[in-house]
Amino acid sequence: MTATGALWRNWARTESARPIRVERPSSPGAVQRAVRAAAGSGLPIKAAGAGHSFTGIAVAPGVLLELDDLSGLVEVDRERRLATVLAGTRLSDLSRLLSPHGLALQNLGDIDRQTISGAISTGTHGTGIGFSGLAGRVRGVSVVTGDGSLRRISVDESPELLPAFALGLGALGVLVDVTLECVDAFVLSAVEAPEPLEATIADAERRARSVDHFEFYWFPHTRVALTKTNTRMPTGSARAPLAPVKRWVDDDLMANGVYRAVCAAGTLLPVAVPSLNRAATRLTGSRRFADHSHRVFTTTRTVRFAEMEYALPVAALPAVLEELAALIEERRWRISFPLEIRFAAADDLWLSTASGRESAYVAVHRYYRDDHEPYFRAAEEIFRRHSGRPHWGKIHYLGADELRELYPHFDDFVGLRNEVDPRRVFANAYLDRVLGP
Amino acid sequence: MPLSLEPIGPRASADRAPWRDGQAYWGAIGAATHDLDAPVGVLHSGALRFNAHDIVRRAEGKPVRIASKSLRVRSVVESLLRLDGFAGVLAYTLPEALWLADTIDDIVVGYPTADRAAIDRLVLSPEAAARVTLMIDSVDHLDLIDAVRAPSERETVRICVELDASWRSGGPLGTVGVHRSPLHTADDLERVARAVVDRPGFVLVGVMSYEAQIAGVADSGANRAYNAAVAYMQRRSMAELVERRGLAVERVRRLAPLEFVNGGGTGSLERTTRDDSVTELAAGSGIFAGRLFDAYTRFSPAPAAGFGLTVVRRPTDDVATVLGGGFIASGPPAPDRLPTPVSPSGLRFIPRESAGEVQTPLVGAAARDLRIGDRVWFRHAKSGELSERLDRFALLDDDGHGRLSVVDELPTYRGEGKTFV
Repeated sequence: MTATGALWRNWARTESARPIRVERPSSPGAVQRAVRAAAGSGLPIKAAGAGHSFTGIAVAPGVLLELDDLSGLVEVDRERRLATVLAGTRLSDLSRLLSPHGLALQNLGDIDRQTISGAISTGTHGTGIGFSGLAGRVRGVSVVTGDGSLRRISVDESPELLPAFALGLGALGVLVDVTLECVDAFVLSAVEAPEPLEATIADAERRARSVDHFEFYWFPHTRVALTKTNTRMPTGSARAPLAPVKRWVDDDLMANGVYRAVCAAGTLLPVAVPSLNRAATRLTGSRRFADHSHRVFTTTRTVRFAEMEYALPVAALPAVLEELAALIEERRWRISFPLEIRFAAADDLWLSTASGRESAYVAVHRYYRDDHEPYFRAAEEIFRRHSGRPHWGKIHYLGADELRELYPHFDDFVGLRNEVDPRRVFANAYLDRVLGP
Repeated sequence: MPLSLEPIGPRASADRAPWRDGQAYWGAIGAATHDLDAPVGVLHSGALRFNAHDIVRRAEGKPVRIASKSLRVRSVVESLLRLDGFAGVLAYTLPEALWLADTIDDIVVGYPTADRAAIDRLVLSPEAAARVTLMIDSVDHLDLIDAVRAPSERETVRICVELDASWRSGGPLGTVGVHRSPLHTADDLERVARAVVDRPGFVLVGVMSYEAQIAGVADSGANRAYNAAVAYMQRRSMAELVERRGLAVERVRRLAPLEFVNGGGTGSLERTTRDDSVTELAAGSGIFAGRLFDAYTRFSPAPAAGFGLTVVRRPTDDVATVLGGGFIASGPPAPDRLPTPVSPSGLRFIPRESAGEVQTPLVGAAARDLRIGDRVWFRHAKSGELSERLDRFALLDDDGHGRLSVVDELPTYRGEGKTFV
């Protein structure tokens, strides 16, 4: 199907576009035809996933491909725990599709609305210092490159290119399907608790190494860390899920409803933010539960926000947090959204934020109606002083020259891009900025 | 610089769709053709390229036969044939087909012919007879050809039989579609196909059926109730046709190994291509993309053709009169067959005079500011007839410095001294 004139906006409302044409290909052949037609007319073309990136990485000024009709499970190799799914499959559907096969994704971020292709292409990750981001589990992709040809890149075919195509920023082509290495389905036991901030920061690395999935939130203007500790239980372990009412109260009402009130109030009355934050911290209590992994990893986010996230060497984490706290104090900003601190294993993907090094991630947020730029630019200076690498799907202000220094494989990637998309059919303003024209 | 519809430029860019800003688009066209005298016809290379590649995309892998009636510019037909995805021509008269056959090797004449002189030329030329296929829908057509020259004295004639694609709904809509072939059922088609196969001097190579009610009726006009009725009619009609055509083609294929089964038109490509019995599609109007194609939900072509007329009088303060008129599109005469003034914006015809005379008065806010010698740009409602009013088109393209300029002049059929119908 084709439509025209529609306005596209990302989830955070930070980017929008009015594409020349919107197409909904329902087969790999249709993707090929879409790319050939666009390239033939000299127009750029881009698949946009769920629009959950905060940057303009998915903005399609020419032809926009919506992959909703290219969704579902293609094949499962139970023996090797490999699942091949169509590119437009949403993460939430993926867990549901894998479950009858006794499989699950090894790790997940906390949002599950993204498409699998969008998530891997932008470097989506969860937390867990022993676990890589989603793209680190990619064992193959089918991709339509700039001349409209369909290529298979996998552990068996052109494996030397897999570290580029598995996290390709959408710059190398349109993904048609993705093969992921899964794990046997498992239960996660979760413990959430407010704890003193200083002690949590001081102990963060040790805790990240001693449990499976550790992360914490810090609301500026408070001295409390809200910690989340998830432990992987063997398949078949007893579940103790949150009662639906409790889950709704905690996740929807508290996590989103209260945040929304805090954020809206903060916009009108910035001076109230510190006390509102303290209230939010107090209201968020401790809880323990155990459930299917994907139900524990993910939460619902209905309050819109803007986000910046940087990957840092783990050792730099305490200093970075200290400098951020001093910054907020000094500038007298009222920040209603918390900072989020997570961890991931090193991987060998060319453009992964964790390429070749273990990472601590620090994310800063602002309510979407607040002006995020002064805060984010100042935070970015701190991140950069500590060799941080920006998440590709979240707001940052770096360009190709700065990024080249952060990634040893940067020029390999640009060289590959010149080969598979010499006419820049898949380019947009964001890719021009971060990879060069 | 000859017209090439291959990709151009070092880099893809959304700027390659300049028609999205209509005033700037027509403004740039006006500037590029400032020195040409009116009436001036223009073709925009970027828009032609966009439309051509979009037609290939919408055909979803089946080859597209070019309906030359909707273009009537030989160089455009030939440049389309150089693109992957286009193959062959659907001509509108036999003399035209014979003329094109000098350089084009696969031409189907889309309508039956009774032109005895042209038939004689066809059947005496081994090359033309191998390149041109005639359309028939009755045994009488075969008799006429035999009467021109007996099978023993001529080349074998390639024949395509046409199946009527109209929908006999049986409901309040009655028969929907156009009056073309009398062959409506599989039995009808098989009977005539068998006559071709059984008769010396003929070879049955194809079947055609053109679903005018789907390809040629817009479904995104101003009236929502009308659009809904059109959508309903098109859905039902297509379902009926797919079944009937599938059966008819299957029966004919038992009699002769068909080279092609042709269906569809610009407005129905993505639907017709899903009919498994169809092996190739026809399209033409979508290349120049007259204004009638602005009102389809399934695609949105670029306005690639236009014509400019010059203001020659100011009868009153609020009327500007351009020299030139007519330019009425084919089809049932109605307001939707009129050209549309597109630049400057805010011009319209005076209902009592409209667009049919040698001169055309225009009113509207912009009319007050027009002076003698200013240019007004129009779009044609359909496509091919525009070429009958002009002897050439100015081909516009980027001149390499980011400016639009005239890069070539493409003669129309008329400019080459040909008027076929």
